[in-house]
Amino acid sequence: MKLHRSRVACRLSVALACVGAALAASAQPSAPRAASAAAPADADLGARIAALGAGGAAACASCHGASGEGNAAANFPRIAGQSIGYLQRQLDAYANGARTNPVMMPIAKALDDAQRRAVAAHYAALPAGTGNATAGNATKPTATPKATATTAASNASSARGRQLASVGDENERVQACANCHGPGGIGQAPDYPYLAGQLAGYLQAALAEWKSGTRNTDPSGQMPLIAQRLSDADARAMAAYYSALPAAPPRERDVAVAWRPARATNVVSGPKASGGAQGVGSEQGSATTGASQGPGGAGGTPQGNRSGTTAPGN
Amino acid sequence: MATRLPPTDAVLLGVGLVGSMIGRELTKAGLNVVGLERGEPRYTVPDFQSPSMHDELRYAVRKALITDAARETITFRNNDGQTALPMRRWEGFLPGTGLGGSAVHWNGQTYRFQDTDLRMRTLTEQRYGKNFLAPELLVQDWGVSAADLEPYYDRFEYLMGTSGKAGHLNGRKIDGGNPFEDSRAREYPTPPQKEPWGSQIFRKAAAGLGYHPFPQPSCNLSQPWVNPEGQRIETCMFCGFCERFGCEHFAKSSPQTALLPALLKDPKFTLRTQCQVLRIDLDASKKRALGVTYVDGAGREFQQPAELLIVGMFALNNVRMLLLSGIGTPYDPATGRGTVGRNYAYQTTSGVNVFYDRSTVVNPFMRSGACGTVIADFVSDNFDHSALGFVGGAYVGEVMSHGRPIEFHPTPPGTPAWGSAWKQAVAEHYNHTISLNIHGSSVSHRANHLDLDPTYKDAWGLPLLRMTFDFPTNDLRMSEYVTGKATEIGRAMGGKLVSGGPRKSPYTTTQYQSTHNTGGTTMGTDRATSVVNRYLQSWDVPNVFVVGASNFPQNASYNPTDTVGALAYWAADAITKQYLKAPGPLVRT
Repeated sequence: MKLHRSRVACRLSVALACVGAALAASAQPSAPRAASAAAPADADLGARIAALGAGGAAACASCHGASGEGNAAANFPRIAGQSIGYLQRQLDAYANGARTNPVMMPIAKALDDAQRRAVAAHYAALPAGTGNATAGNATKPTATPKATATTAASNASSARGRQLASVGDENERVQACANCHGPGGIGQAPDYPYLAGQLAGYLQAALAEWKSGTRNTDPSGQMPLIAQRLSDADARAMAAYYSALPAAPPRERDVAVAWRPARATNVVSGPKASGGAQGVGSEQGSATTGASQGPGGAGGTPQGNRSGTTAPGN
Repeated sequence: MATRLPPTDAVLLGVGLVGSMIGRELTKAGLNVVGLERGEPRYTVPDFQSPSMHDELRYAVRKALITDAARETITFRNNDGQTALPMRRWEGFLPGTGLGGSAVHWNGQTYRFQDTDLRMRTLTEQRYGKNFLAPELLVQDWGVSAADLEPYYDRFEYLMGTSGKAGHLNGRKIDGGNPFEDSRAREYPTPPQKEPWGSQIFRKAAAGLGYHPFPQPSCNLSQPWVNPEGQRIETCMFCGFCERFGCEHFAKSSPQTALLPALLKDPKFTLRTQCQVLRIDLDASKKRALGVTYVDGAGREFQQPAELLIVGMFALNNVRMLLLSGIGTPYDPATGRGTVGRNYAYQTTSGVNVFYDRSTVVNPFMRSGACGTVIADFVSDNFDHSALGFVGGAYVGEVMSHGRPIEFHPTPPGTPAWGSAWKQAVAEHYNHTISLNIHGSSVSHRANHLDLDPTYKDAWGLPLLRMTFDFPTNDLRMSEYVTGKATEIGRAMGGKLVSGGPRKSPYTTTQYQSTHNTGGTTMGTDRATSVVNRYLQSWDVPNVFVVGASNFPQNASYNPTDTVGALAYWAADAITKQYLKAPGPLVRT
């Protein structure tokens, strides 16, 4: 059984061995890594498909805009700067029916794997904030309120949107969007799309898809449950909140730290650890080795001076 | 001085897992119940939400969900010849506090104890002879069998939605589950969690050596589950922040996700948080509890009279509450007399690391609290002990729960403890190391016990609990043997280096080993060797029930929570079906 692609963005600091895209892609290194795999996609091919279409598929740009900025009037989402893994998974889902949409399904089916991958890579490489969505952002809550009552309602809705996004609602058993989509809705590659700066109409439509089951791409079942619990007003408030946020800044790229052998000279390091005198620690399956574990941890005995320490209180 | 409150039917001392379970059963039986929780109220939303919940420094290192050691802690020594000193920081084990108790920050590993654990003395003597158990070991039967508890395990697992695979269903063995488990009546509520890559490597190696790998039963769920209380628990997202953290996804079974929404809506239930119970008040005969005295968050003292008291705190605190209240006879290791504080036991854990080269990518951060694959071939009495010189055993498994950056730094022996070479080694091994866990039993020993400290007091002026503990030779031998088996499996896993070692004495509280502190209010059928009867009712004060891991006469190879849950339902059943009809001792002596 294969662990489905990372539910966890690799968020480790560069000091740790976060070996880049390959690491974030799959628990099973021998499996093909569809999403964000290391093999380069054909950039020219992606750009060509975006601009001109391929194999009977219409040009992406005709709906999603020349810069992938989306089209608010028609609810075509902003796709620039979404992660390659997310974009490719959506194309795959449209192709295999896990996500249904009369416009996208024939397009995705007309593209082969390499083409889907290339066009996903093309849009992933574009900055999310480029361009204003075609036909403006009519659904953004920017209209000047004309009456106090409207202002109050608008403020309440805005507060509700912020609450759902960053805190959630215990009574509705809805967790914060930020848990998976990142603080401020910036997304967490490869699986979780950004929401910040996404078009409000699209976000509402996406929630409706989750609710109705026409989008069935979440093996955890979390998104359908959340969508079912949100009222229409909640969905509107959440969509308005995220669409009003600035589009996600360029995503932190997966960091590949090349391993190199320790230099033979000028290395400042502690004494070599002897085996712990009290056995290897184990914290619910993670051996507590290394320098952070305090006296008694085997593997790395901190400071080399408390190996075999007796219990405190002596 | 204390304000006397209107009487209620029942008081819960502690609203954690046990308190919320029994509280729910009592309100359903028509009782008015007051829940007293010393910590704060807290809920999935807003208290456990990300990104603040994923603050490793705050929660895992500084242990924000754990008891405030500046107000209440434990003193510790290895043996009676030493003077115990208070633990100023929690390291070795982590007693929770607050609504939901330790079941908020647990990992979700959910095993049933075996009949060979519950009837350990009888079955050990049957198999190996009367003299096999060393005289200094206080190993004893629980007064219940696996068959007695099966319906209660079942009920608890269906409350929690536990994800697993049965290996022994209605007398029939099933491939893929745990073949050593006692027969269960139903399959687990939800299928096992997904198997991570490291676990798959372990599975192949263990099966290749003739062992019987199975998926670890988990209360981080593989799919959504609606429990009999109408609560939906959701799917685990493998976020890697489980033990020591609350779950932001409603995906870890806990009082918050499984029970509290129903209980808190019940008009018969009253929750009072930040209420520190000082003692159970007894009448002049010391045979009847009148209620409790507690201090609220503003420092005001109250008496809450009640007909029935449920002591359902963390195991160590259950023991302390009885000692502070003068219920039962404190254990005296010099004479062997007395029972409260006797049979303190722990968990004998060790680890083995398998280091790979860079072609094996483990992704340790992509884990759930209780995912993984284990073998039970060396659990309990599942193997022949006759030539081994010890009783008990351990499960061996690849059950890594996280690869969090501050805590997880596997490096091979000989690596410098700090500096550039250490950093290089961490970078080299972080994503290419599999840790095996050896999670072993702990026998009760005449010398290991809990009592009140003669010197140190808590913030309310009450004596701290004093722990006297070291690993019995029996358990060090067990650790040596099973860690050796784990090392063999590690070698079969194809790494370039295997390192690890058994648990050694002396026990230290400065290295995290386990929060499975057990015993001290032991259950049993003989009041000379137990504090509560088989229904967890105090022998001395029959309107007090004491429930938790403090009931264990010795600790088994497996994690204790499933058994604590089963015991809570077992006790609730006895209370609602027997005790309430005729309040008084349920077992006559």
